[in-house]
Amino acid sequence: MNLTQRSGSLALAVLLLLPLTASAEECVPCHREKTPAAVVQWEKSAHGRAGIGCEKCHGTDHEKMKRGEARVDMKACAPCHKKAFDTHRQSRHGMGLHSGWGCTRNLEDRSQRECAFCHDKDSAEPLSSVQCARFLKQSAEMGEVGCNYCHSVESSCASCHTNHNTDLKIVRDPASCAKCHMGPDHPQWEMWQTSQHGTLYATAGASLAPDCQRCHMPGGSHDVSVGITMSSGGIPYPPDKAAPNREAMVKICSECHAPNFASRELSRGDAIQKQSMTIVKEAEKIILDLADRRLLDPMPENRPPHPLSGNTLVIDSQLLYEDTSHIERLLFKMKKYDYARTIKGAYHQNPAYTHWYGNAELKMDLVDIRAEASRLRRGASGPAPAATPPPAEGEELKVLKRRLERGGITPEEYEKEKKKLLDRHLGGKKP
Amino acid sequence: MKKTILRLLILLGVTITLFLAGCSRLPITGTLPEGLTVEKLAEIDEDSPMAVSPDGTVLAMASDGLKLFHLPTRQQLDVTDRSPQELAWSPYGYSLAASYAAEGKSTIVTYDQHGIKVAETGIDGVITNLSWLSETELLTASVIITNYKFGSNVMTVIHRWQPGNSLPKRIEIKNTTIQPLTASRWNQLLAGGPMLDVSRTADQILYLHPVEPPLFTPYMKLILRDLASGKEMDVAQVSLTSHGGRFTADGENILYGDGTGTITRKNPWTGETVATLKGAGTGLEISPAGDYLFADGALFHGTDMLAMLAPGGSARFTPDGSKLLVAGGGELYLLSGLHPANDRLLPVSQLGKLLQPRAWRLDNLITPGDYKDALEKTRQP
Repeated sequence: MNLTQRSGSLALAVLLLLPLTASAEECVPCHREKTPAAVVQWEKSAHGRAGIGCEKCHGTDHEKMKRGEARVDMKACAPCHKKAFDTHRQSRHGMGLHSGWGCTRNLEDRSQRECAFCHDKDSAEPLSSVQCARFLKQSAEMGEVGCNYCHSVESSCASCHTNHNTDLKIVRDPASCAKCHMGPDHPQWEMWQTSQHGTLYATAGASLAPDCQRCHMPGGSHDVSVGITMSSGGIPYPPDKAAPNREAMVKICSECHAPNFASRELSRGDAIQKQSMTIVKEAEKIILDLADRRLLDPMPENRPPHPLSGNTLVIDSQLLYEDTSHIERLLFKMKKYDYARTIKGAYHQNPAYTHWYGNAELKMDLVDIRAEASRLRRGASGPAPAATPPPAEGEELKVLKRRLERGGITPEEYEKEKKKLLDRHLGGKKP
Repeated sequence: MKKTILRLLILLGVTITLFLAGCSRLPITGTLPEGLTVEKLAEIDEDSPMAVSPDGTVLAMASDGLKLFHLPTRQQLDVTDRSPQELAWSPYGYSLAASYAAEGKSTIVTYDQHGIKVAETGIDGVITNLSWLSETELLTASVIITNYKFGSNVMTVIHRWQPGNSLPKRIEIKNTTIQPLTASRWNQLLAGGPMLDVSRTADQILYLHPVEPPLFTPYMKLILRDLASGKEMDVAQVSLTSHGGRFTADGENILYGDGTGTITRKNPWTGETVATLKGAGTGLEISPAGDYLFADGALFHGTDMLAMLAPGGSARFTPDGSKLLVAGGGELYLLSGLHPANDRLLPVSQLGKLLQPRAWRLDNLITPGDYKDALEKTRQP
């Protein structure tokens, strides 16, 4: 390339760059007054320094921007940050919105603009079929602040990076994770902070202690699912999916610890998970039995319908904490708060969360659930009988039938029990 | 000579024709099968209700008032000069219930076995069926039709109570709105009330209720209902002119006329049609053992017609099944010589154990096969 050619290329580059800087210059004078923080943050950011102007991300339709319809989502960042975009999409954060939202078209007072969260323009096809009953129960305002401020991580880089800053110091600080990873349902930030890892971080500094990013985003990866062996609801992955993740986590731990030590500690977490799940399952069994006997107060058919399942009992991950019976509300606390704290506390090596905020609460929940079940079985206002009389054969048959219908027993088991009850009735024998 | 013979032959033919024509007006003649005999007992009102006491000795009937007719002695006791619309003996025969209608209301009077009045209860609406559920509890059925501009509401209502001890408890069991045209066309038939039969075990009822789906011909549903649970099962769809059905004594089969010329014996649990007969199915009665049938004035054994007894008449089998009381043309007859039920019937005491399984079967908690097994076990000594 001769000098003339080089000069030509440079001129072309300058010409291409000019409109960008010129556009930013057009926005900045006004926005320095209207949105000063945004301008200052942009000017200090890598984008500002490189001359990436406003319209590159926001577009040029000022009216649309004023209407609030030009929010910058991940698609605006993806062309330049492809690797980060790809790894993010494959990770659990890439599912953030999927697990937080449900279709709102049938709900009152919904803005049409919300459709864009789940649908491409003019498409009725949802980007995900996953819906969240708890989200669907909320007002538009609660859904936005209480749900989307965290779950929008799926499609918004700004959810962690903030809107106009590009300083990696922000997102490399565990405090940036705390916005969402705290509170009663999954207090990972508090667990880490009050664990020995967190104490070291606070006292000796980041170079001597692991933080969220070091273990969960190793090497600056945007894949936050590295090394995790269970779903966000605490259900272990199948072995073929769990094994490589466990291997990856042991490798991460082994940067500081002996691999055997790391494996042993994580295995203890696995054991605690199994033990805790047994307690949860026992509680679920009690509630299913009460439902079979039509003893829940109120029964699902007498409540507002579950947003996803209607007037049926739901105790899986779509369990609600509102418009439910007291005993199901106890199960919600047990499952979503105390079970989560027990197992996440164990994996984060926090003794207080594992035991007192987790395990102890979990076991006390079971005491409460058993007591509530007893109260429901004997009738809310009736005196406690010396011994619960065996239910009549007819009622037992109905319970068996409901159990069969929900898959709690096999048809063969049903037949066997049914024959026993019929014989008992005809023979006049009581158990 | 030939003319004389011809005249004699014509005279003989006319005589035979007149004789046979005369026979056909009588309820029973020598055309009865061997072993069956018939005798006239008494005068009876046209369309009189009849109820035979459980021991088979007393017939309650209307004949210018309520009468108790003692079958062994042929003696008749006048109870009251009011003629009842419905009559029913209690299961042990200690009480007789009679309904009297006046001005759209009904009065239910209970008497002891000697015809002494014990209690009286007033009920709104015209009672069209009267049955005892136990020795002390009565059940009545009625239909209440309310006319509106857009159509008529037809409500089937039952009442349950213990006469002299409690007030009638009203239970609305079915409610349908029918179009004005249907209501006016079938008003008399609908107002005739819900045909209702109570099972021998007094746990289930069988009744008719009109249905008028949009754009389709109105029809009647024959419905089986468990009184305790309120669970129901549709047995059949029949025309509006159907006279309904009857339980067999074991409650396993149901006999009904479809209103279009077929009488069907059906097992509602398996859906199996056991037998069919040609006939309108008026005045259906089935013998205790289920082998004899009275329908449209004729007596049948199985599906074979034995005799035409009383066209347009009614009949009642005695509890042992050996006799049939036939009312027709204002006269009451007793037909004897039928095969008695004897021990073919499961005693009510043993049937008691089957009440629950019967209800469970209707509730789909057990299968018809399970029930059949339970029935067999109950029969075993």
